[in-house]
Amino acid sequence: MSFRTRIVERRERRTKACSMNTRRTDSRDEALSRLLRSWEVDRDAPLHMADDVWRRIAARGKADEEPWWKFSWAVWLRRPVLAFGYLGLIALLGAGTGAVRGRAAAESLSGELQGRYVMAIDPFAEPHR
Amino acid sequence: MKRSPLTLIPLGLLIGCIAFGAVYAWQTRKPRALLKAPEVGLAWLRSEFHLDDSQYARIEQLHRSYEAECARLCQKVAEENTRLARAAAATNTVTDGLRSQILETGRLRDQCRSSMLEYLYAVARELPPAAAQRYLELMLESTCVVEKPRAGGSVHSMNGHSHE
Repeated sequence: MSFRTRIVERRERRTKACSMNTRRTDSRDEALSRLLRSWEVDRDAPLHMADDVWRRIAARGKADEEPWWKFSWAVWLRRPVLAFGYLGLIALLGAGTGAVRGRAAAESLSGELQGRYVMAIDPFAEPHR
Repeated sequence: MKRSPLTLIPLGLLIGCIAFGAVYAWQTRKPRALLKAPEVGLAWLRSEFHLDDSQYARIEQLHRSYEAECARLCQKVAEENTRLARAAAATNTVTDGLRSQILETGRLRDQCRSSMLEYLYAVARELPPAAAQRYLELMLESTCVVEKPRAGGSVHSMNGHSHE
């Protein structure tokens, strides 16, 4: 068998295999298409969803374009990431301040407690201030 | 209903306040709990020096016997002070009687101080060495066992009268 004959045979085999695959794929696509046609979305998108999406896109664009001196909380807070960041930051600030003030108050209370012990044992002690 | 994103500002403040309150309450929970104890002073001692039950029981017993002794001495001091006040009001010169009254009140006061120091040492003996040292330092600083000049460096009497 010549080299040329072998190439021709191989090409024919490949073409045949390809056409078989196509037939199989076609039939599967057909089944998928039928399934997709039969599928119905039973839930409507939220009312005004499109409007909301466009509004958010517009707000983001506006926030990006506006110079910093025209800063608007309303526009800025419309972004979920920034809104959650703001809430997280406030919570962190509150917790930090609480920790500092709480520690000072705890020290003061501890001093008062010590004073109460001293008052209990020392008849000449002055009340804790 | 459409909510404005500006509602996040008061919401943030609310969250901040809640976070502050929660952390503040957590930080002060221990001393606040001690303030509610029936005997605040002893509760503070127990918490401050991490006393176990047996140490606390022994110290409580020492405290009770010292309290009784202290009450007896306080009664004497109060009586002597009344006598001294009456004697001092009855004259305008320092008589021998008045002088001995003053010495007697001082003696009773010194007796109180030495009794207190005995109690402090007894409590310190119940504590581990490092805690005992800290306890004594704190108590010698806060009680009248060792009389200290007040701030400003001038010599003061016990009631705050100063000699510039």
